[in-house]
Formats: sequence, structure tokens, C-alpha cells
Amino acid sequence: MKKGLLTVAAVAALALVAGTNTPVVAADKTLKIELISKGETHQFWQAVKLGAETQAKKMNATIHFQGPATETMIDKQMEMLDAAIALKPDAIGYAALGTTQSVSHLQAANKAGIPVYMFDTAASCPGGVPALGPKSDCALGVAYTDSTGAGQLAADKMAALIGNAGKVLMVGHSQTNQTGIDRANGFINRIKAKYPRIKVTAVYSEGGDALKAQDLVAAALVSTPDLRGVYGTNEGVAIGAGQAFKAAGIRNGKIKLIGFDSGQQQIANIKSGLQTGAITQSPMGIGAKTVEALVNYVRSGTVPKNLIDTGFYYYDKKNIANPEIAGNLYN
Amino acid sequence: MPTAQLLALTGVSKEFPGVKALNNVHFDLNEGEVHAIVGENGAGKSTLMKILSGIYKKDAGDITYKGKSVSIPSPLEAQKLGISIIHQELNLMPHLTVAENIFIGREDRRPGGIFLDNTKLNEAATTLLKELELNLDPTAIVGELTIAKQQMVEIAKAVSYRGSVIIMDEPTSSLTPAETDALFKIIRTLKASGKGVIYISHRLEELAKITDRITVLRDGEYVKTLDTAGTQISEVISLMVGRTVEQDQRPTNRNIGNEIVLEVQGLSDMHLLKDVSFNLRQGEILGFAGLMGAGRTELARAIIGADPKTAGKIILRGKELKIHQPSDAVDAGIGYLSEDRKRFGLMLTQNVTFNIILSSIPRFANKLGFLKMKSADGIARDSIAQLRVRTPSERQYIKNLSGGNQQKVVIAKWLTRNCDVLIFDEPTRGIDVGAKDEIYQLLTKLSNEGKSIIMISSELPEVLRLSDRIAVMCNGRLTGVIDNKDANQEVIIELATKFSDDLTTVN
Amino acid sequence: MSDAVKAATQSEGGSKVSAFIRREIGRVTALASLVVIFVFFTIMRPVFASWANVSGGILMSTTVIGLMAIGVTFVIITGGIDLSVGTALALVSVIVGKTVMAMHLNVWGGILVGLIVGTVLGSINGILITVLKLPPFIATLATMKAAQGLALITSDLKPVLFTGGVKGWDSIAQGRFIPNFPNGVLILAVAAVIASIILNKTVLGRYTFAIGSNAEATRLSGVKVNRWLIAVYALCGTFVGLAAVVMTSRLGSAQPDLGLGYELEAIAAVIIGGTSLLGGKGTISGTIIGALIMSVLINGLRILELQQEWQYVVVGAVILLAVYGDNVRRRRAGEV
Repeated sequence: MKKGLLTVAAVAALALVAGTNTPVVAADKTLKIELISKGETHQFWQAVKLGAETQAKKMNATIHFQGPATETMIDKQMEMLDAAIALKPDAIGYAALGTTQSVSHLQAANKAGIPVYMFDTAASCPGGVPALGPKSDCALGVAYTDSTGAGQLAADKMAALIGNAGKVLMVGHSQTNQTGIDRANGFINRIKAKYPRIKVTAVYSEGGDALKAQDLVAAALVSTPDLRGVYGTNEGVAIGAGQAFKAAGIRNGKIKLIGFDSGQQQIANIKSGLQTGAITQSPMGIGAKTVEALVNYVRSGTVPKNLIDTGFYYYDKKNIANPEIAGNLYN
Repeated sequence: MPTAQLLALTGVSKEFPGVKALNNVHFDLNEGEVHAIVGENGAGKSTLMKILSGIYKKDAGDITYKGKSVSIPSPLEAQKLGISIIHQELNLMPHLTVAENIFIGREDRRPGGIFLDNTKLNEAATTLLKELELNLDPTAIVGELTIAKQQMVEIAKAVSYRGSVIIMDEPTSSLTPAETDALFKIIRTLKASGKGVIYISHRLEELAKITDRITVLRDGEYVKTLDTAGTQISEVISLMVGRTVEQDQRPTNRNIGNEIVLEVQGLSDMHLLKDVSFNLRQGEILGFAGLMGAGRTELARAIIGADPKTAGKIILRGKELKIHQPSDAVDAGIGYLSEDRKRFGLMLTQNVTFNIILSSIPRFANKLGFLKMKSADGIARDSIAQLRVRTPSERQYIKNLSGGNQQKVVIAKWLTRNCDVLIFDEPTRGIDVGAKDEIYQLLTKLSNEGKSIIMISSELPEVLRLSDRIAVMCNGRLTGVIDNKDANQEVIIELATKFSDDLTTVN
Repeated sequence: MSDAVKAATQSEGGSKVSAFIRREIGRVTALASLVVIFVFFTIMRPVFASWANVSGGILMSTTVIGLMAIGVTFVIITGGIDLSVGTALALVSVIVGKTVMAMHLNVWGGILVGLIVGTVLGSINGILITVLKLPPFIATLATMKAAQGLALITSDLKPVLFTGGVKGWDSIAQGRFIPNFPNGVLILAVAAVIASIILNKTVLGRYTFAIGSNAEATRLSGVKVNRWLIAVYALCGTFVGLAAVVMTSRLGSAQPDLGLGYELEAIAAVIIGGTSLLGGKGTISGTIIGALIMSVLINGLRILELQQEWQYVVVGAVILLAVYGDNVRRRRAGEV
């Protein structure tokens, strides 16, 4: 009920601001959407692009997807954003590289009557994520992976794999980066809350350093002979843990190993049985959800949630080839 | 003049692992007195000074200061008592002003205690400098002053603590004669105000001019205290070395070849050297005299390629050398022995062999680059025997050798490299009187064996004693080359001050 | 190790043993500390001393930092510093990975590429320091950042996987040429012996000490100091190249975003081992002891399951203690 009211108010507000450019557009018109990403060539972004393209085709829209060569080229991304605004597309999707620099550019897009939805990483809009929406002069919302939820999924999978009891090691990749903290704490807190017979120890390999992770896991294998499982919160940590298993001769799932994301080595380790499985985000989902939110808003004025969880999956040897998984994995 | 006793040391001893640095030493100092401590290197002078200034703790003995028995556990305590030391190497902050240096750590602050009060600071400095009759600008940057003026800043700083005892360690070692006279004037001012000065110097001829009493130390032992009036320098020397040393000699029985070995034509550099030309014959010792800053060291460094030259040719045995870096000169057989051995000549933390073979390492290596240490140690032992280096072995660390023996190691380095042109820059600086004689004999011997030697020296008796010819420099120019038989101190000083009206002098 | 350079002082009296201890007090205390720490952990948890942990845990975790520290020892003895070794490690490993995969090189070819690339990167540091006359701290700070960027660019931000592509790449570090003794540790041991021979028995080693003792006196003695300094930095790079090869073998891949901060661990190992940051003094055996002290501490604290943050504090304290102890010793010996 409340939501409905908000929607009406939002449409009215936007109509006022945007003048002639009403958010409601006929269904037979092909919408043009500019997607400005943090990168282009990396497989993660290719997957985002694929998800966006697929979704756009379904909804009679076209996308133009671009991003700078490296994630340090903030200025370049700002140029891309300005150029996209100048093209007067029907909507813009944006993954923030310069989280503060981009705010004024996004405000310019809004002034020009172009709705913006953010994906993967939010810009530092005034008021933060809670203030996003039609009233915001910055963006409607942001679509990204719920890292805490992903950590919880890893905990549930781990518990199931080891029969809800025993010692597990959580190897985090950062104690300062929010994604790292969420992936770690999601796991730890879920174990503590739901699986009292599992004892979890937490260590961190700062920056996802694979070599340090290897040393940490090697020491844990000695200090905890009855270790049942290891959870690594990013690709580097998972690789290091796998190599420690290899060096210690632990194979065929004797100790379970759940990693995060994908990459060539992790996928190879899962296929060979060295690693049990991993959580992957859904880059395709990120692309698809962003396009869906924008198209619905432009066509029918449906205000999207200011925060969309784009989903995550657990994968292992068995489901690694399934289309909804495979499309989200990168080498 | 009051003659109350300021300071008295009785039976002071200090031992380092394996070495008795001081054994039962006595010393006393009265108000308004300049009391010299002399002795060869290793006699214990610096250890005594370090005990007085709180750097070392004595093992035994008593120190009485103004009639009270005291202990001096730290430099800060020494300062509180009123004992200040001016080290040979000045301890000033080159980027700060004169006033800031004098009052470092005791700066005047504005009310509130956060901001500095520079006006007050400069006023205090002005008053102090006036009191000492020092012609210094309190706001001048210390790094831009001459060494002599920097030393005056040190003295002003020492006096500013309002202490009664000022220790001066080799204060004239880098001063010109005029600057030395100015320093003596300041010391007399200090004397007149009742302060006691402990004066340490290798330059014995200065003692007669400035000191009241002289205490001689030898090998850590107290030898004797003499009243300066009525004491001959030769007596002091014989007490120091335990034997008599001859003074004022000239070269005899010289055997100089006709061949011109080294010829320098029109050498100039960016800052000082202007069109310097001279030649050096086989077996000759060519002395270079001049005031501090006349350009003699600069000339040596330009010849060997240590500093760039802007014009000039260097011709060795009729062939022009292309010298861009020191290794070019060394390859041609020209070796340079710096005035500052510790900075430019030696590896103090390495052993004798290491230092002797440093210039000739490729000779002691096989094709794969492995060192033949046995042969290196053998050569080092030969050099030690040949040059009579006093060291327990070729593996002794250089820092444990006396100045004279260190100098012999540097000479051995160049002899091992087969250099036949040797440029000695102040060959006896910081070397005891006894060892000086040995270095003189060595230089003469080397030249008699056919080595050609350039010897830069600021000590005129040394120049006159060794040089076959004497080249005199002033302000970057060569002002004359004279045969030894035509030379005396007056002639040299005249040449050394030629065109020197624009030279900066103290006061 | 017969140590020509720092050999017998032959001070008055004193037996050979006490003379040796006095001379080598730095390394003797470091070694003694290592033994004490080892015994402590063993008593606390005997499994710590099991060969599986010693070889697979402690020694293996010393290989990469240890090899880098050997190279850095040479640089520090010249009185210089190399801050770029950490990110150079990443850059070399990425280049090795890319080259090996693209050119289908075998293990030996890959090792050679690693050594060459490492040496080239090292000589760039040497050239910047000598030809452009930049202070080593600044020059290598610049190359540290540059190498970091280049590692990310060449790798396209992705790890480079070796397994499958190159037969036996894993065995470089993880194989067992000697039964029960990982090759990575063997490589470290052999590299340490070779480095020690270079440092103490060759012309390059002699000039390394000479430059660190007094660079200007060395130049005035007719030594082409610049040329030898470049050689020292290049040699440091060679060891970093070897470290990169061992690391990729341990990980089965090259990780572009890893290595920043490793330079400080390598420098810490060198300093704990008694090498003076002022130059002119240092040993390879000391460096190895220093690296072992750090990995024993880190591994031991993990085995005791002490909260991880305390590791950093303990390692920091050990560095302080080591340097302070060295200062006290030198002051007593009258070196300061």
C-alpha cells in the first residue's frame, strides 16, 4: 500500500522534473539503454553484458555496453558516462568506478531526464542506498550480490557436506573491504546460529593472497588433524587452500573445500575433485536485473526496489555445466 | 687573575675489552687557564675527553669540579655542570641560522609555549656574540659560513651554556693561519673571563702561543705536566714519543730522473681551478703548498677524474690520457691518497687485506671471478712487512689501526696496484709526530725507487723537508714553482697569498 | 661458511671459540633465538616439530621470501634498498606464465625466462640508481609501482594457470628430488650456498662489501662502482626471478595481485639476520636464519591457534628486538 503511494508520487515527481519526457513509453518502441561498466574485456563483465543483452532482447530493447580498459581509469569512465548522457538514451545503467566523482555526472543525467540504475557497485549518492529511488537526483537503485547471503549459503552447503558437525576453517580475503567482511561474517554467523556442533575458526589472508592462504591452510592441517572443511572467500584464497591440500596429499573430498567466484584454476580443481565446490555470484543476473528494472520503469513507470539482490549460486562438479551456472563462470 | 682550581682528575682509569685506554691519569685545570693535553694517537686524549663530557664512564678515579666530587654519567649532566666540548667534527645543523644553532633545544617561546620567539632568540645571540667579540650575523645560515666561522658558532654555543670548562678538540685542524689567530683571540677573551679551556692539538707550535700548561699522555699513561713558559717543543715531542725527533730538515741525496712522467696543461674546472700547468719528473717529489681553499685538493681530484674538468690536458709519458672517471686514472697508474682517509681512502669496517687489494681485485681473481684469497693475504703480508705496518695480522680491521698505519695501508693499496704516480693529499694529517717521521722516510724511499710523487701539504716544514720542487697555489691558480734550494717559509707564503686580495678571511 | 671478509680479529688472548662467538655474535644470537623459539613451540605442541610441518609448513613457507631476501641482502650490503622486489615477483611470475603458455616452453625454459626477466627488472633498478643518480629508495619505489601496474596489465587481472599446460611445473617446488625433502626447499638451500659463495669468494661479492663500506673510496680506488652496482641490483633481480618461479610452482598459477608487502618481509628477514642497513656488513646465512625466524613464528603461532592479529604484533616485536640487540652489541664493541 505504502509502496503504491510512493510509486504514484514518484511518477508525478519525475514527470515534473523531466517535463515532456514521461517515463511511460509505448511497448512497441525499442528502448535504447547505455550501460557503463567498470570494465569490458574481463570475463566477469562479459557475463554481465551477456545477461543484459539476453534480457534486453526479451523486452524489446537494445543495449550499448562499454567500460574502460582497467579499473583505475576513472577519468575515462567519466568521459564515457558524459558521452552516454549526450546521446539521450532512454535509460542508463552504471557501475561506479569513481564512487564520488560520478555523483555529479549522475545528477546531470537525471536533470536531462534520463533514469539511471546502478549495478555491481553503487556511487556515493547523497543519503546512500536507502535514499535511492525516484526522488533521488542520483539514481533509482542498485543491483548487486548480497554477500552476506552468499556467505550464509556457503555455510549451509558446508554443514550439509560434513554432516552438521566438526571443525571448519574460514579463510577470509579481507578484514577491511565490505564484500570480504560480509562473505566471512555471513558464513561465521550462520554456522554459530544454526549449526552448534560445528566449530569455526577464522583466519585472513589479507588481499586474497594465495600464497599466504596456502601457508595458513597448511598450518591449520597440522594444528587441526580433525579438520572437516575449509571455506575461502575469494578466488585467491580458494586457490591457495587447494594448493595446500595438494601439497599435503588431501584429495577426493577428504576435507571439504568451498571457494568463491570461479576462474580457470578453481574450476579445474572442482573438476578434479581437489575442491568440493564454490559460490558464484551471478554476473548475468546483474546485467539482466539492471535492464529489467530500467525497461519496466521507462515503459510502465514501475519503480524498482532501490536494492536488488542479483543472486548467487552454489556449484560443484555435478552442476558446473548447467546453463544457469556455466554462464556465470569465467576462466 | 684568579687561580682557583676548576677541575681535578686523579687516578682516572678506563679499560676497553683487551685495551687499557687510560691508566691512573692525573689532570687539573684552573680558572682562566688554557691547559693543553698532547699525545700521539692512542695516547688516551679522546678517551679522557669522552669521560669528561659524559660519553664514557670511568672505571676508577675521582673527578673534582669546583671543589666537589662529581660523577658525569651523561653528556647532559656534563652540560649541567658547565663542561662543554667542541668536537673536531663540528656538530651544527647546516640549514639553521647561527642563532638557532646556538640555542638549539633552549629556544625562546612566545607566551603559550608553542610558537618560537625569533626576535628574542636573535637578540640573545647578538648579545652573546658581542660579548665574545665575534663578527657573526645571528640570522646567517650556518651551512653557508666558512669552517672557521662555523667553529665560532660552536664556541658561542659552548659559552652560551655559561659553563666554566670548555674543551676544544683539534680546533685549528682546518683553519688558515689568519683564522687560527682569530681563534686565539677568542680563547684569550674566554681566559680573561675566568673560563678554563682544555686544548687538544697535534700542532705543537701552537702550544707556545696559547697555552699555560701542557700535560703529556703516552699509551694511556700520564707522563708529565709542564709549564708552557720555558718549555721547548722538542722536549714535549720527546716526552710524547719517548725519543727525540729532528725538525727543519731538507731533502738530501736526491736522485731525480730527467724524464717528465706527468704533464698537466691548462687545467680548469667549473668552480675554482684556472689554467693550471705543471710537470712531474721521474723520481721527484713535487710539493703543493697553499692556503686552505687554494684549490690543491680540487686539482688532484680533477687530475684523477673524480670531479669534472672544463679544460686542460693530462699527458702521461708523452701520451695524452682520456680521464673521465677515477678508474681511468688508476688504469694509467695514477693513485690518489685523499686528505680525508676515512671518507675517501679506507674501508674502516673491513680488514687490512681487503683494503690493500681493493684497487687490484681483478689481479686476485681467476677467470670465473673467484678471489684467490691466499695470494691476496700473501701480498698483504708482504706489504705489511715492507711498509712496517703495525698490525697483529692482515685480517685486522682498519678501524683498530692508528692513523699512521692506516696511511701505510692506503700507500700499500697503490703500490699493490703498481701505480708509479702517487698524489698524496696531506699525507700526515691526523698522524702522530712519531709516525709522521716514518711516513716522510717512506715517501723519500718511494721516490728514490722511481715513483713520482705529488704531495699536497699545509704544513710548510713538511713541504720544505720532502719536496724537490714546490708548487704554490692561490685561489685556483698556480702562482709559482720553486726549487727547494730557493724556498723558505716566507717565499712560499708570499706566493700563497698572491692575487688573494679577494680571499675571505675571518673578521 | 669460511668467511674471508670478516675473518679473525685475533684479539688478545681468548680462545678461538670465544673469538668466533664475539665476532659472529649477531648470527649466533639470531641462531640461538631461532632454536629457542623452535623448542618453545615444540614443547607447547609437539606436532609443530613433525617433519610434515617442518618441511611442508615452515620450510616451504620460507622459500619465496627467503629467495627474495637473499637477493635483497646483496643490495642492502651495498648500502642500498630494493622496494620493488615484491611487485617484481608478481610481474615476473605473470610474464613467465604468459610466455610458457604462449610458447609451449618446458620447465627448464620457464625457469630460464624467470631468471632472465628478473635479472632485467633488477638491472633497470641499477640503471636508474647509477645513471640517473636516483636514491635507491625513490628509484625502487617508482619501479615498485610500475611493476605492480604492469603485472595487472599483462595478466588482464586474471591468474595465469600452469597446470596441464606445462608438465612438471608443480614439481619445481613440490616435487621430491631427495625423498621427503621438497624441491622448493632444496632450491632455497642451493641458492643460499651459491649466494654465499658469490658474496664471499668472488669479485662481485668483494665489490658489494666495498661499495657498502665506502662507495666514494671504492670509486677513487679505480673501481667502476656504477657498473658493479647495476650488477648487484641485477643479481637481486635474478633471485627474485627464481622466487617467482618457485612461487608459481607452489600455486600452480601466477597471481598478478600478489607480492605487494613481500619486499618488507624480505627486508625484515635480512635485518633480523644481522645485515646492517648502513651497508658494508652482512651474511647470507644470517638472512636465511632471519627468514626462518619469521616463518617459524608465523607457523608456530598458527599451530598454537593464537588469534591471527597477534602474529603481526609478535613479528613486529621480533624485528625491534633484533635491531635493538644488534645496536647494543655494536655499542659495546665500540663500533658506534
